[in-house]
Amino acid sequence: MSMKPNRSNKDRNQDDDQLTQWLQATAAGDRSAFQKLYQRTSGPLYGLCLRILKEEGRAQECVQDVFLAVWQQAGRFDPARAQPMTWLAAIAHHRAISLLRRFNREITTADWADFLALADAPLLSPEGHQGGSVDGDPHDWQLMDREAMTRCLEALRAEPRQAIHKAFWFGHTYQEIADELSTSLSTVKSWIRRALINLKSCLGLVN
Amino acid sequence: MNESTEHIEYVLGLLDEPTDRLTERAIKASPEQRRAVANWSLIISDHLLSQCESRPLPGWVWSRIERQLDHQAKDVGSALRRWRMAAAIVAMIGIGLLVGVFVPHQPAMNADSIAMMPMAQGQSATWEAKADTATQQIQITSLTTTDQPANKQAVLWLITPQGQTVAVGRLPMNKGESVTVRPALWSNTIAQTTLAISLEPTGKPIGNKPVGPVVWQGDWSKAS
Repeated sequence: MSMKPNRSNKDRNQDDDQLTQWLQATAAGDRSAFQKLYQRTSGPLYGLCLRILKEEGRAQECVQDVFLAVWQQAGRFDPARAQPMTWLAAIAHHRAISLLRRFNREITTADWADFLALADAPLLSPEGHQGGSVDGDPHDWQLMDREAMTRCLEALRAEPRQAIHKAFWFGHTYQEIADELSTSLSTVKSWIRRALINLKSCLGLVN
Repeated sequence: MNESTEHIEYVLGLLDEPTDRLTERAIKASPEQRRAVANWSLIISDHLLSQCESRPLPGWVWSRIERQLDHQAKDVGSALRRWRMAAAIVAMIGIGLLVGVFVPHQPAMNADSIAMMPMAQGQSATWEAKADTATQQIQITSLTTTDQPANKQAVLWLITPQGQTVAVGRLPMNKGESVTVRPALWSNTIAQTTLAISLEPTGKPIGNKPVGPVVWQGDWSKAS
């Protein structure tokens, strides 16, 4: 599973298979499977929510909302499009960002789970870029892709990297990042947009 | 090179309120945009997850989730019983002001959608459902006294345009009974949902999908 990158591929495959089975059973209304899913995955998701929201109470609310949405939308999970833990983390990340905003977002947590069913099936080239097809264990490619993301983030220039870091880890808006960095809004927008374009290019995700 | 980054900016939460709203509408309107945000959501979340530590949650979070699920499939009949009990207490002590204490607060109902629901397809209506989008309430009134099949209970469901099923609750069975509920995980698209009634086994918790036979399905009509 993603929280333990040094575990064997076999272990990760077994974890993914187990989580997928629990998600499928949850979709069929199996409360016991849903509880097992919660017990296995709520810790990492809480860690993610807490990292963004910084407050335990709000992070706990985040986890609760995520699992209520998962109970409703587990049938939308497609193991061909995402690993189960990544799918859950994507829902948690969207919820955490929405909780951070002072305004209500129209796209709900359940909507987000629904949207994720539209994601492309990941095809990773040997360079860790999407777009190609590979043989072998998909988990190796997943790990490579994570390394590629880290590498691409580190390759950004210092100021855009600092701004992107705040966007990734603090869920800040452009204005909040500009205020924190004592820089103009237009400068921060320019840094981040350019950085995102570079990131897309570095990851091989440009059309 | 495609230099559009709006969908990534939305995923990261960078946008101010007006731009965030506009982007949400664009995402909702376009399957291509939804696909783009889904892809980036997975990429970013996978990276963040790999950098986060697992943290233990207090046990009451799970209890709260369970309670919420139970509430979602709550027995609307029990809501009626609570109302009667509250009314009896109020009558006994003779202080009308206590109504506000004992009766759960419900915003005023201003129905914009209505549905006449039979116990089986083609039969005359057994229940009337009214929905108020603004206050996210559904009021269900039993028009007749109906006998339920042995070991079965009639349960009302909503089916969203995306196919998500939401248990509203068990239907009242006695003529004149009227209950108001606010289904959990409500979205603001009541009028677009399809209503369904199923016969679920009694004594078992209601899950997130009907287990028993679906005896009726229908749509909302605009309330006059």
